[in-house]
Amino acid sequence: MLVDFLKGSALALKHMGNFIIGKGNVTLEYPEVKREQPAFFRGRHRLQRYRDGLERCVGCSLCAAVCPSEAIYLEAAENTDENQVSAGERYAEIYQIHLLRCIFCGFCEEACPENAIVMGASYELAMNKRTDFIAEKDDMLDPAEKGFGDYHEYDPYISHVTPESDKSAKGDPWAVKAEH
Amino acid sequence: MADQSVHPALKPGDEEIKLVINGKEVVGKKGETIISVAAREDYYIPHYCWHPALSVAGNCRLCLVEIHLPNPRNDNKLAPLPKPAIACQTPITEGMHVFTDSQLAKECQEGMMEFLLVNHPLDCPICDRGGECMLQRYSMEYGTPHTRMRDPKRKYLKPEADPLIDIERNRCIMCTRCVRFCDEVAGEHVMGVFARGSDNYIGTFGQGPVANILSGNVIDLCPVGCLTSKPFRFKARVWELLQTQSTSIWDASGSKVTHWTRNGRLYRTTPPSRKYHGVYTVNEDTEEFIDNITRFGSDFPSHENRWDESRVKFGENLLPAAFTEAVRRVATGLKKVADEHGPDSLAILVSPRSSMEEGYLAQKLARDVIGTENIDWRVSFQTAEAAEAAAQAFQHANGDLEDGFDAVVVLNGDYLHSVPAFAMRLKEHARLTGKPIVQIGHHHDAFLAPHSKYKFHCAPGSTAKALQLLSKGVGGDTSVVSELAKIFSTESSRVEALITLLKGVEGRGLVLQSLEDLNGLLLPNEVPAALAFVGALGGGWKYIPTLRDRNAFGLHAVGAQPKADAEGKSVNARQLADAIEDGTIKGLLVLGADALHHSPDRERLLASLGKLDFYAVSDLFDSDYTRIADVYLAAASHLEKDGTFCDVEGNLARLASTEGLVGGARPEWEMLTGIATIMGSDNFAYETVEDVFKEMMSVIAPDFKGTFKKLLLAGPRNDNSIKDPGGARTHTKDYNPGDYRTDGAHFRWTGEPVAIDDQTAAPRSVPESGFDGFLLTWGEHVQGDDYHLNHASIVELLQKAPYVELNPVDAVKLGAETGDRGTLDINGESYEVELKVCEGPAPGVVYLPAGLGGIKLSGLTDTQAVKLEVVKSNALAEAGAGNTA
Ligand code: SF4
Ligand code: SF4
Ligand code: SF4
Ligand code: SF4
Ligand code: FES
Repeated sequence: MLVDFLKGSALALKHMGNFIIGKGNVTLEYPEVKREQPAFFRGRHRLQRYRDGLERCVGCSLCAAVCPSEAIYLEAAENTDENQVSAGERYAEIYQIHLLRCIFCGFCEEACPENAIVMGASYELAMNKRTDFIAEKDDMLDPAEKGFGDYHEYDPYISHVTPESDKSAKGDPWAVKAEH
Repeated sequence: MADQSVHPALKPGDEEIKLVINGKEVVGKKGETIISVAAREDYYIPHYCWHPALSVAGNCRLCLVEIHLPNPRNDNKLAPLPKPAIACQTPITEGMHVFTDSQLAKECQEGMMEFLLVNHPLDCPICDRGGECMLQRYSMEYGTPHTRMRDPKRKYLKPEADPLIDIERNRCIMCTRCVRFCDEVAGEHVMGVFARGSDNYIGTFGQGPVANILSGNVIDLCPVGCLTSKPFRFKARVWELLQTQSTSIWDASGSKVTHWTRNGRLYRTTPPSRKYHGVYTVNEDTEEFIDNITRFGSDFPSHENRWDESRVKFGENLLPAAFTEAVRRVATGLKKVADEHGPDSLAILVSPRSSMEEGYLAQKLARDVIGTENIDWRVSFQTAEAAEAAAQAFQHANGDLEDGFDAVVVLNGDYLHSVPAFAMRLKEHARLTGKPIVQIGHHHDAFLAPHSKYKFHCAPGSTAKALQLLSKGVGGDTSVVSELAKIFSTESSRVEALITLLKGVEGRGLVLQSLEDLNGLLLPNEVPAALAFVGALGGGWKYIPTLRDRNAFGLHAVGAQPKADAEGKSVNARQLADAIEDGTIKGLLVLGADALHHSPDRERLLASLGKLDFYAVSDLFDSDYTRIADVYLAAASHLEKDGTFCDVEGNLARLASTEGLVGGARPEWEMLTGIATIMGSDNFAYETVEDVFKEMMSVIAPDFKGTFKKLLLAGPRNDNSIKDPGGARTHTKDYNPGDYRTDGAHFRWTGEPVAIDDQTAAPRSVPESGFDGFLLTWGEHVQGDDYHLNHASIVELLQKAPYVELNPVDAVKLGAETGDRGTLDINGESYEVELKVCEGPAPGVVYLPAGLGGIKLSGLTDTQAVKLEVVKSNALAEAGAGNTA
């Protein structure tokens, strides 16, 4: 009986020792220290850009269509020469995700043909007002600037070709004439 | 033979052919193609270039099927055709065995899909066709999931051709549906296929626009995302929009439409969506075509000038007020005037775009509550007599295009630009069946001209005389021939041929009369003449008067104009300005300010409104007509209310609310109910507009069997079977032309024909020949100045520059050609116009579509001589002053 008592105490002392020297700790000094998340973690959404700064999202609405909780609302618009926002002809003028409706299923990320919307690592989702739960496009494009946690850099692996830079475009006789 | 009645496509007398499709014995008629028989039997054959409303092109090769035929040299044993054949062009033959889903057919479909996708950009995420694209759907159903294409794809630059249609050539699959639509249906050869081989692309000649009033239909016809709508570009995805089946408020042809809305905003208007594969879409084989004004101009309710709160006058200001308060003010205001000056000092004006229910309640309010006959909708006519003649014309309308015809006589008018879809259906019928169109009068429809067998021009004002003589001629009087030949300036033999043709029509004939011509100036003579002509032609002949105003016929049917015996004793719409000036009318209720705007003398009418003791108006916008009102009632727009409309053929169509009411706006039937009730009537206890409809139908069409709900086409909102799994397409069952008939409420007149005396038929005085210049004729143009169109979001693109039509004979004299510019002097005012040389006007006559470019013809009381000077386009170009595009 005494042996059992000593065994138990030894375990307690071992853990106390580990705690003091900081080995095998699971508690973090949150919020100063934030927990690292695995790559597949589905946290607060993030919208990606290309290296040249253009947005990946072309406002196709597929994420909104697939979203089971209808959390995504977006309105698209057309890029112009003066205002080139995304790499395609079309971009999302308004892009909102209602984080109170979102169930973080990640379907939007899966549906996106442009790898534009991705599930980020941030799990800090407390806000003061209900309206703050509507994440706007800028909040997701530049989350660090907007104070929504830090993220590991997402490496864009698709380079893009704009119609202008693509020399294989065939002109029709009038279009060419119109250019001159 | 005996069971022919079970096959809807077979008529008695058709030659029957038996064949086998996928093992099932089916029957078709001689001359039919495999694809139409298969569609009827619910076997879907994928196709791009085949379209039920267009000719067969046979160029997409997607409809390849396997065929086995009996071989007569081998005991009629079945033998496979050496190669697969296209189902859209191969006629059926006796004993033919067709396999639409055999191994070979599937391989063909897969192969063709791969070919079509070789150069296809597949940029579905930014393609507006995504979600309703036939290429997307076929890729899923008939294509392979992987591409073997490794080389760079062919790319084209994007042309800036049309302001309304976006052309993205990379996505084109060269089905030529758009080219065939322009050539065949719209009647203008404007689109074509350019270059050869794999370099070919679709475009417009000279990079010009597809400028005709039906051009928007190529958007729905294009099976892929090559032709898309510019106003709708990138605004929303189709699956996000709520579809509401409704009807056009622009086209009196009665076009059905689908309104596509989201968050209370109208994104697009299309022909009615139909169910294909369990999904309502407009992009497959839409056989209904609508005009561009309906398509692009229906979003006016969201204009920034919208006043969606009722207002009442406090001192000098018009201040927002509750709807009930505004209605109370109207009731007390009207009552006060009636008490002081008698009921006949009040008048009610109804917009010709009001629904039948509103017209019915307005006339009930006028007759039963106020006790006056001063109610009218006929605002657009030039004179009071013209309005009366129009009522007579509507009273005798009895024809319907849906019945078909063996010959049609078309009187003066520009039908394409007043009732576009109707004119298109008429032309299609003549084109496809070869039945003759005869055009008589001082102005022919240039759109119908290529398909008109006979065209007889006469001087303005002689149409009535010509019709009277023709009536005698078909009655057997041969003495009229020489006189007719003189009126028509043609040989007697042609007149004789015409009379023989008219007499020889054994089945159905139609006489069409446009009440729009000269804003009705000549109608007092021409309507009785036309009615007598129809009578003289005999029993099979029917009469259709047409008018641009959408619900003209419906409002006539509910009696929203003075009764025939009260005409002349009451104040009709055209006498209103005079009556207000001389103090006969002291109080006015206007339902829809477009009623004021469409009056030819609207400036005078507007100025006279200040003299009224009480003026109330219901409308949508902040405008000159509403700012001066004592009470402004905010009305619900065509997107927000329910109601019934009637078209020129007498068929009913339902207007349906898309997403409910906006702000404080209320439908007019609620206003009228409230006003009548406060004025002391207890006969206005309606809960819904359906109650009004029921009462109205029991009065005007007691035989009506349908219901308010059933008048609406099936759509995603009222079709409970929408969740059904797809399965075979049911083409013939979904597209049911019977939808367009409202049996039991088909407002057609059945009575005795009208006689005409010589006096009525006497030619109107026209300026003697030898005058200097041309005789001016005109008619309202749908793309002209219009109160509602002026509030549409892309109004500039929809309004057309002013032009005049000129006979080729005169054009040669002037040395002018289409595209030249000219100046037209009317009443001392000079207008810059474009010239269009066509078969429309008679020699010596010019036709000016009224309302274009702000040209007003309000002061004209008769045809008059005008001067036309031509400025050659190259002279302009040299001077650097002109734009001839
Ligand atoms: S994670 Fe799921 S619920 Fe959240 S926005 Fe994306 S699709 Fe919608
Ligand atoms: S995030 Fe992706 S799926 Fe969503 S609209 Fe943008 S591109 Fe489309
Ligand atoms: S046309 Fe159809 S398949 Fe082609 S990009 Fe557009 S939606 Fe996709
Ligand atoms: S533009 Fe569209 S309709 Fe015209 S040929 Fe190309 S795919 Fe066919
Ligand atoms: S549908 Fe038969 S070839 Fe195109």
